[in-house]
Amino acid sequence: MAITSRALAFASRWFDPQTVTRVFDPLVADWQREWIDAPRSRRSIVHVKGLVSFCVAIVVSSPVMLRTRVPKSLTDQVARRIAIATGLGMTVLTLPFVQDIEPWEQTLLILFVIPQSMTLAFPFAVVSAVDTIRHFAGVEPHVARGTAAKLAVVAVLFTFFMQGWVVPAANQAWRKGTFHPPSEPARAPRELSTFELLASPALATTHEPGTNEFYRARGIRHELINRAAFAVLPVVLLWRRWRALDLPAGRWFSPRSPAIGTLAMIFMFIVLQFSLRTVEMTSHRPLRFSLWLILGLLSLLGMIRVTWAERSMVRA
Amino acid sequence: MEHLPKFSSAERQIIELLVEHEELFGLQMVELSGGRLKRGTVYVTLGRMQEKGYLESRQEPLPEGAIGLPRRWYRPTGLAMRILATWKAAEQMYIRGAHTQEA
Repeated sequence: MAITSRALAFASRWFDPQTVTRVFDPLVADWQREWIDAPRSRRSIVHVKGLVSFCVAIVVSSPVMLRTRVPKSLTDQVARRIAIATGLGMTVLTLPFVQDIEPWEQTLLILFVIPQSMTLAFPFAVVSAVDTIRHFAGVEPHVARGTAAKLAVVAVLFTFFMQGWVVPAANQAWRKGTFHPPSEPARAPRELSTFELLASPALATTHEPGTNEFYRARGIRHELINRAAFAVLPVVLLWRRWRALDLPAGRWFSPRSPAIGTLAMIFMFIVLQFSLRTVEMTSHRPLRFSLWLILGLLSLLGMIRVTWAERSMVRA
Repeated sequence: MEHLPKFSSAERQIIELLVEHEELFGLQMVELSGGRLKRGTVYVTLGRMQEKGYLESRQEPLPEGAIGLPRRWYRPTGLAMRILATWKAAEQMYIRGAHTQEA
């Protein structure tokens, strides 16, 4: 019955004691009794049914988790940490663009580069916020997890909105401002809002391979896939940091400081992206799901680290 | 009256089952409902109904040496019975009204 105990422990980490007592304790109790009363041949079916109903109950109860009251001081600290980290990232990403150009161009360029760099820096800024949540004194585990879950939702929505609307709009404004005489620039998939991409007529029909429309439709699909993956990136990074902070200090696998942890994530992301780009170039085939592949690899590396650490702790 | 108590169809189903059988646990309700109550959501509904004061519950005492968590048994409160009776009366009035109009 280890699975039922694990399920209950999982629920206890994510939900308040009242929800655990009222929803998950009775669910697990009935699941356990059913398993005990079932003949041996039916026990695996009982576990499958119990697990499915447990997962449904988790999903149905998740609004309760998101309604968890977070202390205002914690929200403020998290927001401050994210703002500082995003600001630092933005500065680093913007600086190379503002050198050796005319002052009037600088203003326009900054207007274009700032939303772009903010969108790129934000997911990595979430990493340092996880430390703030975990080390905040006097917060119960379910409140800390509820805060992290809220942060994940906000991060996804923010990234999705910035990348899908603000960055394309800033890009258009910059192009219109710099083109002389002002003309409507050609709008590549990157410069279209997510809504425009989804409503594009190019997606609605099938095109002859090799034609411009065919490449246009492929480019739009690729862009939509990338945007969806990028919106999930903060969640993957948050989860990785959260799991890393579960590990004990003072060992080779222990989590480093938030700054080093963030830099390590950025480094890993760049290396993975560079490696996949190299694969694309050598194979002459664009990988449509390359960003999803990076997310998968980041998650896998995170899981390997935690599993390895747990095994080495058991051995010790 | 400040507000009318809310009563979903799943809640009504549960109350009706409990009125009929007096006391039940979650899985029994799912089985007795003939598929109308789902196993994944019934516990969430039961938790919400307890919060609203429609149900009271008790934990089954575990026999000595038994393993696992004790089962939770539910029974309806007076409030739930009154709401159910009011709903049924309102339904009857509506049906009678509908018949009168048809005639």
